[in-house]
Amino acid sequence: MIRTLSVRRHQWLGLTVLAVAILGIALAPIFASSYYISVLGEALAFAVFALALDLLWGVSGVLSFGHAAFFGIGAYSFGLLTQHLGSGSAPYVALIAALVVPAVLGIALGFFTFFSGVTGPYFAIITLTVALILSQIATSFPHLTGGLSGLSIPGLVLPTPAGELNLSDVVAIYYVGLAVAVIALVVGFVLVRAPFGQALLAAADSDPRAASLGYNTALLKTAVLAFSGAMAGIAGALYAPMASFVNPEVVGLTLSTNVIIWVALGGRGVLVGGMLGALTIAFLSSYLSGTLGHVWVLTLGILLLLVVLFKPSGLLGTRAIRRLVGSA
Amino acid sequence: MQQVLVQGLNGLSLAGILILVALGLWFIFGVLGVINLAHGELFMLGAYAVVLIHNLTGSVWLGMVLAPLLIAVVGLGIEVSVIKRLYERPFDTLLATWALSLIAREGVTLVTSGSYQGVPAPVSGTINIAGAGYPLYRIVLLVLGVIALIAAGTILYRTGLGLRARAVIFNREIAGSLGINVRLVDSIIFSLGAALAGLAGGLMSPLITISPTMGLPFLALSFLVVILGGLARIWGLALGALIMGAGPAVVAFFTTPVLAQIIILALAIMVLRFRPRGLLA
Repeated sequence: MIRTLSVRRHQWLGLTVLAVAILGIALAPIFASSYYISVLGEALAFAVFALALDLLWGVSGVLSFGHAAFFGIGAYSFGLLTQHLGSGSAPYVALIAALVVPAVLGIALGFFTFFSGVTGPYFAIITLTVALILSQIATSFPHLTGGLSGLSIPGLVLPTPAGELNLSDVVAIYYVGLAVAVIALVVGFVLVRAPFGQALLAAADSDPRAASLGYNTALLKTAVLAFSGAMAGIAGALYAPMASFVNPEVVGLTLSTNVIIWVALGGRGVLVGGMLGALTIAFLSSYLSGTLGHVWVLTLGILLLLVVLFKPSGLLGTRAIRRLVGSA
Repeated sequence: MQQVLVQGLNGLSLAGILILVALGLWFIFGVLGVINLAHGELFMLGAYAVVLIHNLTGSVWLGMVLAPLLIAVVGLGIEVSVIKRLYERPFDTLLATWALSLIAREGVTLVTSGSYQGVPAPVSGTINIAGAGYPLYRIVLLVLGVIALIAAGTILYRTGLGLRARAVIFNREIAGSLGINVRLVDSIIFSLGAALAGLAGGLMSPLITISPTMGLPFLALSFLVVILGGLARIWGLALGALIMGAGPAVVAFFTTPVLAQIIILALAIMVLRFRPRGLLA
C-alpha cells in the first residue's frame, strides 16, 4: 500500500469531474421542485455523515456499528439548544454544541476501547451498544427528548455578515448543506494527506508496525474517532432543521447500519465514494421506499451482499476512480 | 414478594433463551472468528418454522423438533455460499451477514405480508409460586437452556468434534497443519450454531409476538452475553446470560425498567473496558 502525497495530472481530471458534479447539485434548485430539493438537501446531510464514517472506517480501518450515536447526539444537541435559547445567535451556539458533544463522546469512547486494546469486532459491538443506549434514552425520557414523537425544530433565522439567512427556506438550507458538504470533503482530503492521516493509514495497515515506529496508535484512533464524531454531529445538526424535527430514528440502529451500507456500496477509503453512495441511495430511498416498500430494502440487502462478495472495494472503488479522485 | 419472585423467574427464563442464542454465536465467533449479524434472523426463522409446521400438522412439539434441523440446513447454505468466500475478511463477514439479515427480514415480511403470528405453548400448566400461578413453560425454557449449555460443553470437552473445534479456536493454522479439516469443522460448527438459534426461536415462539424483526433485540443481547462470558470457557455464557437476562429485572427493583436496561448495557461496556477477554478470563 504505497500512497503518494502529490496531486498528479490525472487527479486534476478527477477534480474537474467532481467540480462539475458539485456545480450540478448547486444548480438543481433552478429546475427541480422544492420537494426534490428538500429530499436532496437531507441526502447532502447524510453524505456528510457518510464521509464522517469513511474517515473512521475507510481510512483508519475501525468500523463503528453505531455511528448514528454521533449523528443523533448532534441533531438532539442542536434541537434542544435552539428550542431553549430562542433565536439570535442561538443557532451558532447550537452548532458548536453539535460539534463538541459528539467529539467528547468520541474521546470517552476511545478511552474506553482503544486504550484498553479493544478494536475490531469488539469495537463494532460496543458502538452498537452505545447507539442502543442512546436510542433507549431518546425514547424513554419524553420530558427531555420529546420521546417517540421527538423534538420539533423551530423556524430559525441565522444572522450572517451578509444579512439574515432564513433556515426554514428550503433553498437556503439546501445551499447551507451543499457548503457544509464541500467544506467537509475538503477537510477530509486535507486530513488524509496530512501527516496525521498518513499515520492513520499506517496504523490501519498494521497497528503493531505503526506502534513500533513510535506512533501512539490508541491516541491516533481516539483522535480520528473524535473528529469523525464531530463531523457526524455537524451532519446531524444540518439534518435537524432540514427535517424540521428530530426523533429517536436519528440515533438508532437503522441509521447506523444505513450509513455503513452507503459507504460499503460507494467504496471505503474513497472519500467521495461514500458521499455519492449516501446521496444516491438516500435520494432514491425517499421515494422508492414509498412505491416499492420492502422490495426496495430487500434489493439493497441483495446489492450489499453481492458487492461484499464480488466487489469488496465498492461500486466507486475501482482503481480508475481511485486514481481519478486520488483519495486515500 | 410475589412480584419479586415472578420478575426474577421471568429474568431467569429470558436467561435460558439467551444461553441458547448465545451458544450458537459463541461457537461461530470462537471457531470461525465470524460475528454473525444474521443470528437474530436465524432465531426469527426458527420461530416461523414452528408456525409453519404448526399450521401444517397442528403440532407445536413437532415444529420445535424440526425447526433446529431446518435452520441448520439454512445455516449450512449460508456458510458454504457466503461465509467460506469471505475467509480472512472479518469485517466483510460483518457486512455480508448484515446483508443476509436484511434479506431475511424483508423477505419474510414480503412473504407473510407483515402479519403477526402466534402459536400456543406446548406446556400449558402453571406452578404455584408463593400463591401466584406461574407458567410452567417458562420454567421449562430455563431448564432447557441449562441442559443445552451442559450438552454443548460435553460436546466441546468430551468428543472428537469438540477437540477439533477447540484446536481451531486455539490456533487455526496449527490445527490445520495437524491434519484437522478446518473447513469441515467450520461448516459443521456454523450449522450447529444456526440450529441452536433455530431451536431458541422455536422455543420462544409461544411466548412472544412472531414478527420479521423479532430477532434484532436478541442479537444485541446475546452478543453482550458472549462478550461478558468470554471465549476462554463455554461456562462463562451462563454468567453472561444471567447478567443480561436477569440483571435488568434485579436492577429494576431500585429504579425504572428503562433505566435498569440502560444501566445493564452501560455495565457491559465497562466490563469490556476492564476485562476485554470476558469476566471469567
